[in-house]
Amino acid sequence: MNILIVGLGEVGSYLAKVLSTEGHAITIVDPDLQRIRRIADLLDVQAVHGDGSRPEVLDRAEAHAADLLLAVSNDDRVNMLTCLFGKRMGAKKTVLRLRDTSAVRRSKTFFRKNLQYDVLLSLDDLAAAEIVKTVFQGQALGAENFAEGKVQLRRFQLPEQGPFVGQMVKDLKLPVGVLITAIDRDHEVIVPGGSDDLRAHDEVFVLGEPKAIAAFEKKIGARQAQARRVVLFGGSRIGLQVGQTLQREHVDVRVIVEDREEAEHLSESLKGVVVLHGDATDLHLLHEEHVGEADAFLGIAEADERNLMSCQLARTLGVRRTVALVHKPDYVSLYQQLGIDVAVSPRLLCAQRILGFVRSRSISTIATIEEGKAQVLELEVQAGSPLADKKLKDAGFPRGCVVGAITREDGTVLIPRGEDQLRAHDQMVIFVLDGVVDTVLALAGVERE
Amino acid sequence: MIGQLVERAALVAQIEAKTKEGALKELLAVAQTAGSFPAKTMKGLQKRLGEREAIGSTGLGNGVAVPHVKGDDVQAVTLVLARSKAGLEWQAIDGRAVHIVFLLVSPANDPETHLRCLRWISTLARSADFRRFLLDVKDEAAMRELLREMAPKE
Repeated sequence: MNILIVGLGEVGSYLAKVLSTEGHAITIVDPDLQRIRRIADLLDVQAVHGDGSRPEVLDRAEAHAADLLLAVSNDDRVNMLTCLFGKRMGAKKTVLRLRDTSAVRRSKTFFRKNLQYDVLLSLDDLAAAEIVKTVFQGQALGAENFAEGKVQLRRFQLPEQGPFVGQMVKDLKLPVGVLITAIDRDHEVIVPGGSDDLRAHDEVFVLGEPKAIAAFEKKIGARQAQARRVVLFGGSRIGLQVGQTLQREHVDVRVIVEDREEAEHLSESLKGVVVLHGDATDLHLLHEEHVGEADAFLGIAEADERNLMSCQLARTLGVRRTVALVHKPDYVSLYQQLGIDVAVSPRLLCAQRILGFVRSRSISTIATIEEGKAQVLELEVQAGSPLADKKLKDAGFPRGCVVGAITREDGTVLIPRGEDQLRAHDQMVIFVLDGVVDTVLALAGVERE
Repeated sequence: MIGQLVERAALVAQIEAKTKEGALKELLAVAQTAGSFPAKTMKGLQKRLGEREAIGSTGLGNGVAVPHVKGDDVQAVTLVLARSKAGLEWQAIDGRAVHIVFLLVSPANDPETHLRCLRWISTLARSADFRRFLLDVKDEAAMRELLREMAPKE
């Protein structure tokens, strides 16, 4: 694949290293001459020196021949222009990395149409979703979040004896709002039909709203290991997003913020959540707030050092799980050695998501299951597509795939049944076995690379 | 083309070196013995491999590393596939020790072939079945047989 990477920050250079080793033809663009020379020489990639938001620079980088253009610099404005010009010049697919997505979020369709990106990735959103995931990791073997956390895919192992073992899928009395999308039986992934039965030790992939999934978890007798009390340190955009999601899921959240203005802003945005203005490395404060009794401590402020230190203190007080936000990806492996349970690096998450697109040859891929035996795709019902206005059961989806969730243009989320009707601009989350990925993509009018 | 690469590949059932640097040197020497490049080129290639690792590890995760280098004096694309039972510290993406090393040495004037080989290697590296079988088989002959099975039909 011809891949054009604009911006050699942490995300761009990480991708250049991995993708060149995986045999892709890479061109890099960056305004820093020294940085670009060193990387170009050692990685065997084409290099173009210059500002990637300028058409003549993109022209020199042969944007017209790019199968995939990655606008991943640290500057939102540069990335927007890069995407726009790149697409106009003929780049087949574009990925836009934004730091601040608040504007785009208000009018997704407008921005998508005018900036012409295919995928939008925000470091803050990716990090917030990952942090929430760590809090909700109960008995689930793994969890993925879609539609900004409103839909989850979780994996459970069925116990030896349980309510569903030995029953056929069509007879299961599942909680409303969950769907069994697939079964992993001895490393073989199957999408079950109504007459397939569930067996002990099957790993089932359950998709649905978080609350409904919790009900499923309870029903199969999995122990409720989910965090109930969480202390969050940090008042950034990520902190706000995590706080809002946890509150929605009825987790008892306490927030510690060091900056007074930020504390005030946050307590207005997070109604009903205790927001404390103070120093998260002040042992006295941590004691007073009974931080040691919390199920999880999230150190997600701006400064890596503060996050690390507050997590370590919380740990010594007895917190069960510590999660730290790490802005410098090189530190990630170090954190685990320092006793932090989970280190979340937004840049690494972003790079890994992009790697997933390239490896599955489809930018619609949002998660990969069992090393590619199945994928989770996010596809839009395009206006004028033959899918629009069809009932799901008549839309022609092949065996081996399940439409697990639909997000409507107005933001409502639906776990659909066969009778539900698809509409233009619906975002579908689809669980697909590898063998039928091409068929499903074609049905949605998407070309595979 | 992959077929030729497989038939000419040099196979090492057990890497002797205990470190990444040692392993790179050992496998480069295997490639040299196999006639990939003249002895005088050895030092230069080794230096480049080291520099490449310094800016970012070639450990792709799941216990696999793919160091690769191009040089002017290299005769033809050469693959050295090697195993390490104990595992080598490689600063890989996922922090795990490396048990499988694909060293690829290519002529500087054929970047297309170099990339095609790397693409094939990275699909092998991502196959859990391949990794498991490779670590299980007895000797070099069985390793080559497995590579033949995994080669695309041309």
